[in-house]
Amino acid sequence: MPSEGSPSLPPATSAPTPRSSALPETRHWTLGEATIDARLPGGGLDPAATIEIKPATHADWASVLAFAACLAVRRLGSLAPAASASQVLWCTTRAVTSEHGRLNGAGLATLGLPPETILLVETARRNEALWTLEEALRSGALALAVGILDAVDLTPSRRLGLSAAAGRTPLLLMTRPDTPPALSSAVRMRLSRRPSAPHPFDARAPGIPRFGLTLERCRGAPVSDETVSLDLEWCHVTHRFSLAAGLVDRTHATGDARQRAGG
Amino acid sequence: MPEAEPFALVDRNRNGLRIAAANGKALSAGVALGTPLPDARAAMPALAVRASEPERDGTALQKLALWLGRYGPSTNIDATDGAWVDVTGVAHLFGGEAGLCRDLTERLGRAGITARIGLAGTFGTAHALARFAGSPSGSGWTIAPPSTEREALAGLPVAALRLDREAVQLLVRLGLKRCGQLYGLPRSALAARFREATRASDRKAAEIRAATLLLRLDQALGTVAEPRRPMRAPPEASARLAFPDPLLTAEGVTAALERLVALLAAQLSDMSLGARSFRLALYRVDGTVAGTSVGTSTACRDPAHALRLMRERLAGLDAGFGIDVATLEAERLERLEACQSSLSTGTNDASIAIGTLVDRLVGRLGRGQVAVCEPAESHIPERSEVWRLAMEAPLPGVSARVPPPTHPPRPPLLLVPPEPITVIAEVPEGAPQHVVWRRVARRIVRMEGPERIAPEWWRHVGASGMQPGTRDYYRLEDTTGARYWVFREGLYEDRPDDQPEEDDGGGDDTPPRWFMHGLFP
Repeated sequence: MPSEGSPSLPPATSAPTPRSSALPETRHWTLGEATIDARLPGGGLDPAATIEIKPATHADWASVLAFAACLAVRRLGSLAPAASASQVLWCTTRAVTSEHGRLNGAGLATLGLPPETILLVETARRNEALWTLEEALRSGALALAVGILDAVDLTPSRRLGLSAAAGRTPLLLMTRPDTPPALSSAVRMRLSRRPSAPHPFDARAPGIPRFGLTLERCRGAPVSDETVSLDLEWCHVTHRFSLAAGLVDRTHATGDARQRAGG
Repeated sequence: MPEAEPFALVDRNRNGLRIAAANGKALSAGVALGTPLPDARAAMPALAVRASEPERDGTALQKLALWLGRYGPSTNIDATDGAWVDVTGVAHLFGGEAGLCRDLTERLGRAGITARIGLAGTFGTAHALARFAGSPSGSGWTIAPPSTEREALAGLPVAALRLDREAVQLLVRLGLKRCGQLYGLPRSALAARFREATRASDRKAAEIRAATLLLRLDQALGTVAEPRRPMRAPPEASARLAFPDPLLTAEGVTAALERLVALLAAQLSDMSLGARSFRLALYRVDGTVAGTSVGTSTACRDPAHALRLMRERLAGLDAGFGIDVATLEAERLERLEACQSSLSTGTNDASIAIGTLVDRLVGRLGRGQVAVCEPAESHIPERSEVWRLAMEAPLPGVSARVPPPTHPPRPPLLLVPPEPITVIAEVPEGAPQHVVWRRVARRIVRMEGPERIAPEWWRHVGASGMQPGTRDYYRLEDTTGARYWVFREGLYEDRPDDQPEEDDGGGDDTPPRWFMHGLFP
């Protein structure tokens, strides 16, 4: 249950109403999970800034790409139903496509993202990708721009941040785990894969996906000495993240499943 | 090669080297075209000779025909030694037909080309005048005023009628040396004379020659229409600007482009049309052409948008010695009704804004780089959807909907093509216990499956490049929490001791193979 894990939160931010994701949060681009949203300035992600997501290791790229798709679902859900901008620009490179696979529309639909909202751009060079993202952000025609790059230097990252502010369009930036972070991003998250949630009917089967999220940087957030590190799971029905239930039982559950699978 | 030296090009044919072309000095000294080289050398020992290169001539003619686009929209090469341009309705831009011919002669002269120009109301007469008319006052051009083709042709040799060599020889033998002599002849009698003058075995060819002769004559005189094929179809809307001083700077070209775009947009607006493609041609003073074309995802006549698309392309443009004529043509026209422009500066309509963005991305990155997802008619995962080029697909946002999610979840990332993996399972038909993918062994702790997907029996190539087999898909999770979508192609049922079954599964004798097909979060 989402609210149980966060007793110390200010209650006014968002009363968790598990089954109605639409009304209370239409104007905010949030993760839908109170613990993490409370850590973000203004109770949500800034819809005119850069949000950087870094995988913890190279093996976490699949989780990062899927997490970005989930955030895109949240972003589309946060816009008014008749909003003019309903497209997501997904700017990737050939290397990423051959390494981690191309986007699969049916799989995006599984996560809750309608595939027809994706405008896929595949670039060969970094400069092209940066130009594409700037152009897309400044056009203001998009709900969200997603960019996958090796690394972003100071000047390009500032340009991207200014473009996002100029076009009132957020940018999800994904960079390699071993490169220095982009300096002008408003929020930086580090993401790792986690064993999936237990399947409700079949203990041997993988359940709904879980992400290990660490908030590394959060511009304008209330000062806090502890780093936020949470396990989130994505519900493709309600289109919201929630805290992974039964965190303490996880090792046990996995071990159990392994035992059964092995036996 | 300076004009002062006698010079000729030679052709190698069956009987040795023959003169294919010669310059004025050589011709006046008695070097006739078609004579053997030794004869020509005898007449003029100082004759300089090179081998002729018909292929390069053809290429040069193509370029010349392209360059002629500055005088009119439809141009092409004519036979192997000329080029034509349709100047209907454009002569006034150059101060009349004589002015046009003078301009053309001067420009070609500066490029080192001695031009012979014929200008007439019919294609055949222009062809004849350019090649066979001795121009008055040595100006290099001959103009036949409207509906005077009869008079203009009358004095020219019959070879001017674009006939083959046999036909010309036959006419000369019959005493018909000038086109004018053909006018009064009864047409049926001409065919009969052709038949009589040839051997019995060639009667058919003679009839065809006679018919061709009459057709060519009628075409040259304008009594029969002659279709022409230009290099490019003439545009339905175009704008043209000529500059008294050649443009040299990028700012100048941009300013010219702004005017061109405005002119063209006004034309399109009057016709209630929008263009899917714009083609810009810049004619340099040294006789070369630079150009670019941009496409749009929707019909467009918004000057600002077209201008912005083309400005991207002007960056790498070389103005050379200057640009003196620029044309902008609209292609692939579509109906586009007038619409209310928004009051605010930003575009309100999302479809217009997204179309504009797509155009810009495609213009800069190339057509193949921007794609949208479309469902396809197949139940095989990698074929059930295609990423179509955004320029060819309907506008994003209005494209057909991919079917809603099915229960067995699909991975958001699909490896194309599926990568072969090594799998260890407890029992042959069982679920994988260990998977080796990209040379890393992964121990599987949780799995779900199989989900069977039957092959498309109407296709012949599966994931392994062979006859497709039945696929059994598994969702797997390894000890680190990474999740995979793997499948086994083929079935284990073909035991060697069993009767060989003519079944759809398994292939022939090959064991089933495993593939990594997707990554789950």
